[in-house]
Amino acid sequence: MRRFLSLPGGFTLPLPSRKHDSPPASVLPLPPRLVLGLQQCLPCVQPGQQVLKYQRLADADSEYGVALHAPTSGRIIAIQPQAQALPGAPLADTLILEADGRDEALPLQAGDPSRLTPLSLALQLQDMGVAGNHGPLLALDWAMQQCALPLLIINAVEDEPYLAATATLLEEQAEAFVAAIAMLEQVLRPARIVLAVSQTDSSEALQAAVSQHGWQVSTINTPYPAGDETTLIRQLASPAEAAHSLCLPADAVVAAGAAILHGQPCISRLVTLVDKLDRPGSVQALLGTPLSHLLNFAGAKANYAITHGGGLRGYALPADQADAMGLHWHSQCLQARTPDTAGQQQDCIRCGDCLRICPSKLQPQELYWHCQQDNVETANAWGLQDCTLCGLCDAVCPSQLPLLDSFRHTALQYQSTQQQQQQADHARQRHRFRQFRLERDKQEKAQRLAARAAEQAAKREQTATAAPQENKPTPAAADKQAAIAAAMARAAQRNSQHLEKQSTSSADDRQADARAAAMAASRQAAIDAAMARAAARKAAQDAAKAASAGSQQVDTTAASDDKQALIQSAMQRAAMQKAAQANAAPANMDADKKALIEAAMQRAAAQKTAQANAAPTSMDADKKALIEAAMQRAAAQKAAQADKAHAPGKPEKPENT
Amino acid sequence: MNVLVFIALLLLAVWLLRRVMQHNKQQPEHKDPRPLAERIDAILPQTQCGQCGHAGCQPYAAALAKGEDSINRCPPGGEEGIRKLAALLHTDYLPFAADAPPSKPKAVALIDESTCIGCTLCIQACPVDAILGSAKQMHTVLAAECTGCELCLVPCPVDCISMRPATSSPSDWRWGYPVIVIKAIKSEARP
Repeated sequence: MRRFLSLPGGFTLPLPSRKHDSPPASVLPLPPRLVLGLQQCLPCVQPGQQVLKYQRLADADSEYGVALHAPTSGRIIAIQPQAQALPGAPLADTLILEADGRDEALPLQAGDPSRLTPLSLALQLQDMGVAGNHGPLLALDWAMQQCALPLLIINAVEDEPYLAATATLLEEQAEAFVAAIAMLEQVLRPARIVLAVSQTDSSEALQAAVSQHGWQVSTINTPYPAGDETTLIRQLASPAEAAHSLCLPADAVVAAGAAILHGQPCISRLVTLVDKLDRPGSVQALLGTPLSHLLNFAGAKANYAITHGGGLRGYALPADQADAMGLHWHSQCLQARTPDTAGQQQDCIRCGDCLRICPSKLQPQELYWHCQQDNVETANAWGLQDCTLCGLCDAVCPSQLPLLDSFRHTALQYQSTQQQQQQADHARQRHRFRQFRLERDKQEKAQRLAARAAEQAAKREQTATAAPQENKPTPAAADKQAAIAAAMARAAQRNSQHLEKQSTSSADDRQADARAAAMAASRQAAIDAAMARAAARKAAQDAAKAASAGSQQVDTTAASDDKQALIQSAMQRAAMQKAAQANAAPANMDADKKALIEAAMQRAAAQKTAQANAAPTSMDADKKALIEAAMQRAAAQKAAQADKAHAPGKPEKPENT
Repeated sequence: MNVLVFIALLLLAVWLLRRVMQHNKQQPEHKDPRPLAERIDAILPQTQCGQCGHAGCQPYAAALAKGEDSINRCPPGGEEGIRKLAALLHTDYLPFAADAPPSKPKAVALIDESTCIGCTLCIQACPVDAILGSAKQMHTVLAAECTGCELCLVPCPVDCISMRPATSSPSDWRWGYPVIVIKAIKSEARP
């Protein structure tokens, strides 16, 4: 049934058989004050407030956070940043609760698991402060998906040296454990349940209880990194189940059972205290108990160093801050070591032990080399990101090189470098957007100004064109002169006409004849004939007069000769008259026209000069003024730009945004 | 017979040579298609503080790409930044210029909100728009966006802006560099 996965590397650790040396868990006396870290929650109480046991102190801050409840009754002294019992003792907000010793508790309400859905169970567990390996025991996003659960693994494997809390828990609270698993089965409805236990744990009571429910107990006897969630799933789940199966730690399952079945929030846990202690063993301790209180209870020597966690992956905590650091849910084990246990570090002798034991098939000696050089990129190329930080290489190294510390340092260094790069990219993006925004604002302002200037110019043009028609203040003198000149010209014309009339009274008739002749070419012949007749008559009259008055020679000439001579003379006279007419009339016309044309030209000239003097110059002046103003503005803008460009930090004109 | 063996060996040698050449061709030197100024800009810390004498990180990157400035003028980038720039530009590592301001740990501006008169001068000076506020209203700094460039300190007429070290959360924490514990050796152990 069970398949054994052939994991590379690993190491079967000489774990002690717990049947002989697992003392019953003792209950810790109430510490005077509790130090509760607020890493994944927001406080809902005020400093100075009196709280009861099980009262909620903080709410989950996100879907990955869990709530916090008061482990005992007392008063909140302060909420302040303090060192946490985490790797490197980082500062985080901490709630300090002064116990009053009365341990007054709120009444607990037992819940009914039959009406719970996976999502409501996950929310209730988060509310009760039951934490798993990654935030709440049941991840909310997993519970939201409501997908079928093929396999539920309860992880009771303790593969590291010194870890014994879970084994003690299973021995002492087997009934609660079985009830908790039954509750989870009722709500989550997994296809099958597997209990993964260590090789050394073979509690008959548990076996019997489990076989009643039809669960499967799987003894894990693979080499060391076996208690990992991922390793267990790889080992126990079939490939089809692997993607959707769930692996829950046993201690959190017991806490979940207490929370759902009895309504008791998660306020305490079992802690293993080992090494150099008078009374080593497992202790039921309230969350937030100062580490010094725990270690003093176990009888630690005065001068000790604290290691938090198991024998392979544990990390050191500063012993001088042990008072200020409180126990948290992930504190499974505390070791009090004498400070001088650190071995003598030597050079790498290329033995290859780390290479053979590495479960991730890496080459720790090469990785160590690159990590020592702070060469993160090369270390990544050698597979630093695949390192599970199991600590086996560190444990087997004969030269006692700080391999695990180096890998942890470099891996986190890489992470922080990536974070910094992301922040820099973000800053670059914001800076570029700011530049774009400033440029856009400038362009919009310029467009606005240009539109306004164009509007003003159009208005000014309108007023300029309207002015000469209405009032013409500046060209008044020129206009007057033009008017006088025009009047004079008109008077001169009238005078000349009058004189002409006086001098030639009969000129009008002839002028009319000539004009008629010129105008109507068709009537020319008739007129000519009439004129010839009239001329003939006149000539006859003249000839009669001349004959009567003068010589007799005329009378003696022949009739035909007389008539011809008369006609010729008449024609000559008519021609002479015509010529006289033609000479006289054009001359008069010329004089009139000339006078008119001169007057008109004078007027035009006067107008032109008036315009040239008055309106155009005023327009020019206006335009010039506008252009000059615009140029000045442009120069000022340029100067401002140049100032900005040269000294970005220089204060600009305040701008009301 | 000898000739045949010789020819076979020759063919094998030619084949091997071709394989090697193909292998070399398959792994050409990785080339970034971006222009040099942009690659330099990607290394620079984007504080936009102007301590290099340029108006921002991008102008400094452009000047470096043209070879008009030296690589040791960026205090926020630190020595690590100089090394990266030297590797990218194929130049030697240079220590910080003597006249360059010293490198400081990352800090975040903090406005004393009771003193602030709402003049908006710091808002106009901030290169990443990390200051919030409007005229005659109190201003405040978005700590997550602040690059610690200190450009807002100078224009403030009431000197209400101070630089505070960037607060670190537990998630920012990283393992310290492993330190070798030095032990005193007993004097009689020495020869």
